Amino acid sequence: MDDPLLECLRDPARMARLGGPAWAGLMQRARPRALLGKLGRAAADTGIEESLPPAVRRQFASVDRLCAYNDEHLRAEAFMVLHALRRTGAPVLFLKGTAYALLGLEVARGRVSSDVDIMVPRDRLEAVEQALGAAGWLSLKTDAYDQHYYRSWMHELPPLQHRHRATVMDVHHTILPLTGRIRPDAAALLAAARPVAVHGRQAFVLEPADMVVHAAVHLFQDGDLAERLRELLDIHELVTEFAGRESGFWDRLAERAALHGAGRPVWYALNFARRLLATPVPPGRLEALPSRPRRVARAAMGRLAPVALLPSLPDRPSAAAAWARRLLFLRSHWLRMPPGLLLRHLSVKAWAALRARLSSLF
Amino acid sequence: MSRIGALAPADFARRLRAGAVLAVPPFAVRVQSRLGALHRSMHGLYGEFDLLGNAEAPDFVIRVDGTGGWRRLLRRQSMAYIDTPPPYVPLPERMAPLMFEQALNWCVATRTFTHLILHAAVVAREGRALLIPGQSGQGKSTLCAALVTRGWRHVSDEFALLDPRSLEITAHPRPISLKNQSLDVIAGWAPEVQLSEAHHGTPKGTVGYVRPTRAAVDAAPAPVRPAAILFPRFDAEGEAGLAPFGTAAAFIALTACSVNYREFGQAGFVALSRLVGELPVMSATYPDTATAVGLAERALAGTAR
Amino acid sequence: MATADGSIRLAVPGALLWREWEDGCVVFNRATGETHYLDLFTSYLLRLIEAGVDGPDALASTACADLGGERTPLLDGRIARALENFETLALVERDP
Repeated sequence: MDDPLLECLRDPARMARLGGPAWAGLMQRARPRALLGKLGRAAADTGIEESLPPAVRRQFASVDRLCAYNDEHLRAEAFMVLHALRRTGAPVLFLKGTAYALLGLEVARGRVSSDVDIMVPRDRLEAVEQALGAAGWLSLKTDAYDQHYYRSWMHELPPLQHRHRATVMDVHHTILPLTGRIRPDAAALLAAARPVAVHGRQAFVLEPADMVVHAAVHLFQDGDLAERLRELLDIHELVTEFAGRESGFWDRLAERAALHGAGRPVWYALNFARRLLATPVPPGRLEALPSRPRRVARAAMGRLAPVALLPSLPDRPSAAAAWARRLLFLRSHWLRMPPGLLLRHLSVKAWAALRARLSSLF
Repeated sequence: MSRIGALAPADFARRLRAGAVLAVPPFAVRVQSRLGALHRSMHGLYGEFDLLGNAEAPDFVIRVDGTGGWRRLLRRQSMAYIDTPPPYVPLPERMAPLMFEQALNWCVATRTFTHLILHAAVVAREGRALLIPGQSGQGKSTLCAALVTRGWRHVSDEFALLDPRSLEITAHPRPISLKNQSLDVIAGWAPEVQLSEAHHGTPKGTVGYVRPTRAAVDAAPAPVRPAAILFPRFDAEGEAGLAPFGTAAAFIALTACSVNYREFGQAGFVALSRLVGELPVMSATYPDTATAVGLAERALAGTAR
Repeated sequence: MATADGSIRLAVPGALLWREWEDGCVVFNRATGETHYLDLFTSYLLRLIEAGVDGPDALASTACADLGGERTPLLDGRIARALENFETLALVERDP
């Protein structure tokens, strides 16, 4: 698997030896996947910035500012959410990128993703939704079908967007759809959550092993798998940092994966992270995971996933990668919904898309 | 490294087909296209710019080509391809030069965070620069072209690249885009000016470009310090003249014409408040180009120490 | 006054960066990354809260003392509206 982006993420010193055309290709691959910031951080950490071409240094400097802003922005949005919800009394738990930024984790450096994800106890959902609405967070999905779909089957409210700031937020009450086979224990997630302060206000984030479990189920279960190399890199960086500083992390990870019934996604995540990014997973740790996939499933995913995770050049999408992505998309939807629903959801979406296209054809 | 205008048109076209890296200060842009309309246009408009070696790493990669698929059978169109889905619609193939300018503007505006970017023209005389903010259509390009043909330095015509700490502006001269009546105004004002062909029937009417001069391109590596801010207002009926502009009002106007103010956080707030606090800010109301040029001269002269 | 004199303070102490000019005033909120434009009276009120003047009653009487004039329902209404805006923008927080 010789993808230049992957190679440079794994071995940043390589970047010092790239020529102009190789840089053009590398930046074209990295930028749409929000990985340019990661390359820039890696170059700075490796101490090779000085030897890079001027255009590359300019672009790394730009994306570095953007990433720093993204961090400030996520903290600001977290503060606004806590401000909006201060009278509901609901504990607010921040997920994914927002949590990484609030904790100042390694994974937050060079990472751009402006969406905010929060989780609140399910019995507080109504009060939370009302308070957010009063503070200017409006639903993006006004279509009755969308509303019904989210409320009946999903693990989150329909996405909200702030009226003035345009930030998009997902409000979760657990980390996976209600209909899927894997049912993470929401109460256990909240009970083990760790506190974090945001401008003097208390919020929560998942404890480290739960954070990895969430990243893993998200990578292999949630939506389409296209361009998920960055999410795999998230897992690589989370695991590397936690394993180095949280004592008993690996035992805890196996324990929490078992509790949430998420042995498989965690197995896949660690397996691919190790294969593609050389994540230091100690011997025996993969085998210790509960309900790891059977050999046949492992072989099929092994063929599909790496191709799908690798970004192709925008000009020349690889047919194999496109096919692998489609299969994986189907797989993730099949896993998370009863069969009847699958058909209904996709067809309503398809009609909406068709109507939208017709309206601009004249 | 060679000046584009010094290359034979056929040679330049061959290089663009293969992909060539242009120096468009402060950026390096890799351009690739099979379209003759773009080859001919760029050979003229970018004649004073340098072609860098192909081993040069680019800031941006832009390919301009025909659209694929069955639509090609209906009419020949051009489209700019960068690494993300392009945010614009195809244009007729002969408008490939507009497609390129649009794509490069988009790259500069959405990917540059080394500088605070303002929608503004910047012109300079004796090292002192006049910042002329305004969204497109408010007359900043016309005024910029008019001043440039009277010996002012063409620093930037569309985006001012402001360093938030030093408050210096990095030059980014490009073909100056003129629309509709402005084309005749500038052709009448300065008959010697080198204008591109006029593109009729674009979504914004007729569009043409002023070719950047050798002096503008050669001076581009040197940044300038803004000495005054001038908000232009073309008004055929109104009373011509300079008027002071409120400081808070100027601050708000600048944030509104900045494409990346938010991303700079506190540093952006400090930079723009320093800019409006330290520099004289005026609005110029004028019925014609001659008056506008006179007012711009007075605006800069009035600030001389 | 009928209004309950709830306590008011800056949402995050020390978060505001001010620039004041003759024609208005802008403030950068470090906690939210937002820039706000305030007219002179509104910025004066926010300055009072920043200085520790606590509650609508205290704001109204301080304003009357500083600026001269009678306390009127119009003034109270302006203060109430400003406080509501400040709170929506996460500039201040109020006890219910």
